[in-house]
Amino acid sequence: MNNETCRFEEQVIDAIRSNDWTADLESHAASCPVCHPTLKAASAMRRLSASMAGAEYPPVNHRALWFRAQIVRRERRLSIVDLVLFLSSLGVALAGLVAIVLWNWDSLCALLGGISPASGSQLSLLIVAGGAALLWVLTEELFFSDK
Amino acid sequence: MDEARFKIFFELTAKPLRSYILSVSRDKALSDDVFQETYVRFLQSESGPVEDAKMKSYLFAIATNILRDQWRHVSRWQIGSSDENEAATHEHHDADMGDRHSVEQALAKLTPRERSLVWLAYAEGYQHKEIAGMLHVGERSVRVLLFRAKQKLAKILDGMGIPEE
Repeated sequence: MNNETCRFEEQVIDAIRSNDWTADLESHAASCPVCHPTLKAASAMRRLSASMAGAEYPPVNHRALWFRAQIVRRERRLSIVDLVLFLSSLGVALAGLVAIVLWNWDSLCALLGGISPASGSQLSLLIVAGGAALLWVLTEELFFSDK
Repeated sequence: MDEARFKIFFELTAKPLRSYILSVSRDKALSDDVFQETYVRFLQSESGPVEDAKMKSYLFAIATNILRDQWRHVSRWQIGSSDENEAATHEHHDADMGDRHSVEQALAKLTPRERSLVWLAYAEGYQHKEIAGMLHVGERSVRVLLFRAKQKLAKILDGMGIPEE
C-alpha cells in the first residue's frame, strides 16, 4: 500500500454501493487513511446523486433534442454541399478559361501584338476584373444568398 | 441511431447526466444549455460507440468537454467556485433536502474538475481508466487528482459535521 491506494478501497466502494458490509471491512474503512476519506466522499456523492435523481428533471424531452440534432445535421450537410458546389464551379470556370485561352492562343498573340502596350494593359485589367467579378458572383450566390 | 433507440437511451441517461452537469456547473441555466448541447453533439457524432455502457460514458465525456470549454475562457476549471451560484442548485429547503444542501455546499468548495472527478468516480462508479478518457488526462493523474479531491471533500464534510451515512 502506498499513500494513495489501499487494496481494500474497491471493496469499500462496492460495500457503499450495495450497503453490504462485513464487520472487518467496516472497521478497516473507519480507520484506514485511504479508505476513510473514500467512505466519506463516496457516501456523500451517492446520497446527493440519489437525491438529485428524484428531484431534478431534464429541461427538454428527447423529441426536441432529436429534432434539433436533425436540423443541425441538415445545416452542416448543406454547408458541405455548398462548398463542394463552389469548388466544382470554380474548377469548371477556371478550366473553361484556360481552354478558351489555349484554343485562341494564336489569335490572342496576334491581337496582343497588334495593339499598343497601353491597350494590352487595359485588356489584362479587363480579364482580371472579369475573373474577379465571376468569383464574387459565385461566392455571393453560394454562401451569402438566402435559401 | 434511430429515434426509438435514442428515446430509450435518453430515458436511461437524462437524469444522471442532468445531475452530473448541475453538480459540476452549479449553475442551472448553464446546465440546461450544456445538457441540450451534449445530446445534440452526441447525435451528431457518427463514430461514437454502439454499446449502451460505452455510449453513456461517451455522453459524459462530451458533457465534460463542453463544461471544460465553458470554464476555460474564464479559467475556472481548476479554481474553486466557493459560493458562486450557490442558490442555483438548492431550490428545495424541505427538511429531507437538508442533507443534499449540506453536501452541495461541501461540493461547492471543490474546483469544477474536482467535482467532476468525485462525481464520476463515486456517484457514477466509473473506473480510473474511463475517467482518464473523459477528462483527457493520464490514468495515474486521475488516481492522484482523485485522491486529493476526496481527501479535500472528506475534510470539508468532517468540518461541516456531515456523517458517512
